[in-house]
Amino acid sequence: MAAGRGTPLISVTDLEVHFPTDEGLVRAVDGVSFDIFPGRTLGVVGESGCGKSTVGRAILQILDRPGRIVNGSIELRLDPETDPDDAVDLASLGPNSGPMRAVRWADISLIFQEPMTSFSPVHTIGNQMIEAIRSHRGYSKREAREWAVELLSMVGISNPRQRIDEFSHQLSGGIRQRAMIAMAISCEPKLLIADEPTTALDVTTQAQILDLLRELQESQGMAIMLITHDLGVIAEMADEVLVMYLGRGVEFGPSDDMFHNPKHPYTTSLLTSIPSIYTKRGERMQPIAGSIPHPFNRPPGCTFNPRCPSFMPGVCDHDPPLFLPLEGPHLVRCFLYHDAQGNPVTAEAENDG
Amino acid sequence: MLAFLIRRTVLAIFTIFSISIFSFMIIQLPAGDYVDSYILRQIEEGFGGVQRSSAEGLLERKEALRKLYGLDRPMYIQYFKWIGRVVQGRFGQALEYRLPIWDVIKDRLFLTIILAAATIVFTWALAIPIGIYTAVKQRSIADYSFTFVGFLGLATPDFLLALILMYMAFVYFNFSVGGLFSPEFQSVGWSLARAWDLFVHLWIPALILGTSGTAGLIRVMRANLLDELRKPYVVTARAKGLAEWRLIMKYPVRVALNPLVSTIGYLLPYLISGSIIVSVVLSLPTLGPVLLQSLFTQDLFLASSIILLLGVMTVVGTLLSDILLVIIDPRIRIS
Ligand SMILES: Nc1ncnc2c1ncn2[C@@H]1O[C@H](COP(=O)(O)OP(=O)(O)OP(=O)(O)O)[C@@H](O)[C@H]1O
Ligand SMILES: [Mg+2]
Repeated sequence: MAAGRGTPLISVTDLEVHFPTDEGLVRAVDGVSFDIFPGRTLGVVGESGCGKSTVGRAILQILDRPGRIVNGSIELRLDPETDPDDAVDLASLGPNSGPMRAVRWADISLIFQEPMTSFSPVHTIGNQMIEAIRSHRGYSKREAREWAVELLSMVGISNPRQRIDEFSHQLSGGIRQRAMIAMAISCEPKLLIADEPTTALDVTTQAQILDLLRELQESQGMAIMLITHDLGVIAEMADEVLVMYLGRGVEFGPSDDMFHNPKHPYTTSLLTSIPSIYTKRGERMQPIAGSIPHPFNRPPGCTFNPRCPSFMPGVCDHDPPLFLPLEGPHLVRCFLYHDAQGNPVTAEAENDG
Repeated sequence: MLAFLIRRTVLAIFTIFSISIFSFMIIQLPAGDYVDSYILRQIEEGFGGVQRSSAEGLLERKEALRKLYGLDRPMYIQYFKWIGRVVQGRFGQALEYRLPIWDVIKDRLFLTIILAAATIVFTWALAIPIGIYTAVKQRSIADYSFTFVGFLGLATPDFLLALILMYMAFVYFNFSVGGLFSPEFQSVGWSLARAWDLFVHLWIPALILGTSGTAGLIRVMRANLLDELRKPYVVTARAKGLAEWRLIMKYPVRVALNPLVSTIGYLLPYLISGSIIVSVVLSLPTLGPVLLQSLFTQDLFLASSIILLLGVMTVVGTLLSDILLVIIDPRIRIS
């Protein structure tokens, strides 16, 4: 993409989110670090249940009960270009506090997989859009409505003056997701978190929605955090990629690096499990050999070790590996590249592992 | 929308017709009729010279009474004669009271409706806020306490609660909890003072009749809201930066209330049949005790008139709550 990387808009460091349930403690996010750069797209991939959605919601502090951020920081820079030191740590704000609520939608907004249920079934689209606009902008009702109509036509909905007074169940899946996107950009956020925005849609609609997101990114200059199962979508859309496994970030780096020179064995397996990622879109990720361990019964050391083709006995099943930088901005969590003290491992040692 | 209204109204009329047939038939089921039990009671009470008359005299008298009340005609003719008059608003004579049925029940019908309405208002005013609070504060001490008290309320029979309240009011406050009026307002015409007297007396029976309904409604509201609180549209509202209580009241509470509206109609018969024993205990001038009495004396016409009226009220109540649901829920309104 055109924009350089520059200073991150958001820097997440060592994030941990726990759900203390009756059955036990679910470590939904267990150490994730990444950056999101202004105007660029971060793709987040990983198998189901690895904590992708939880990371997205943690950024907005809208975790379901009883989820809690227990460690780490989420630094938001409202003006990364000119004032890179002006940062707020969202993780330190109370979930219901005024400052946190002011960040929501105005700076960071969210769309999800199910456009049907993301709108209230008993309120019109317009009612919900106008509410979002007016709670962050000092618009009158009429101004907010005009802006909502404009947004609806901006996302390619025909007849917006009629559509604005309809209920979500009167719209088709694709139109609904467009309306959701219109609402999400209504306060011109700096970051849009899109949690599997196309999974529930048919293939043609998927392509249209992704195109729309790209166009809006270009015109609005917003960053996108795109959560998906679909590596094809990542290849097409992402500038940076975060790969997650069982709540941990295992690899983070520029998209090109990741696809051409993946470092973590899990990333490698993900890529080889899809025959041709550049031609096939809409294809779900193929399962990798072995199954995902139960959340309450995680293997010691590196949690990927039972399924890892490069498993090193005595090394990988002891202490957890750290999420450390390789060359440049690339982070990886693997003993092939770092020893237990975090010192880099040479290329020779890597090969006999 | 209009088609829906017409369909529902036709269905309601058909239901009322069926209710009238069934209420008439069910009362006919027990052996013997009003005349049998009337004569039996006169014999027991040794009253009216019946004891002295001969067996034939007794039989003759029975036949005469049967003819007088039309009980010797075939069943369907009895039904059509009855329903024909009912449609014109003439319910016939209450045999026991020797008064037109309408005169016997009209005040009681009115008070029954007032009491049911008061109970519904009481139930909703208490149950909805508690249901919302316990769902939002799920697993808090308040949630567990209300759940405990709610189960107590569900498990306590209404008449027992009535007795306990009467006893306590009398012993501790020297206040008599019977009836719906103070003695001086018992049988005078309506005035502002009498209406106020009714209002003051109404809340204790409403509380007694409403306890189990309140406890039940709390559980339903809590469960409905817990379901809704997990839905993505609530997360959307939260992500928009709305204040927590405001968004809860606007979105999930609104959606969770919809199915409850349709239960208002069913509450009515439950309140009336459930209120019979309580009405007897508290000596309330409602329809329940008269219905009970008419069943004892096998006064077919009085009993079926009351059952028919209650049935009509239920059907109309259900129709109204269905229409209300259509008005408030766009998902039904449009499809
Ligand atoms: N409200 C909750 N209570 C308890 N555990 C939860 C809750 N929400 C999520 N989790 C757990 O957190 C973990 C991560 O869930 P999350 O939804 O973030 O995964 P995901 O990567 O988005 O999965 P998917 O691809 O299926 O959407 C899972 O093990 C899940 O069971
Ligand atoms: Mg998810």
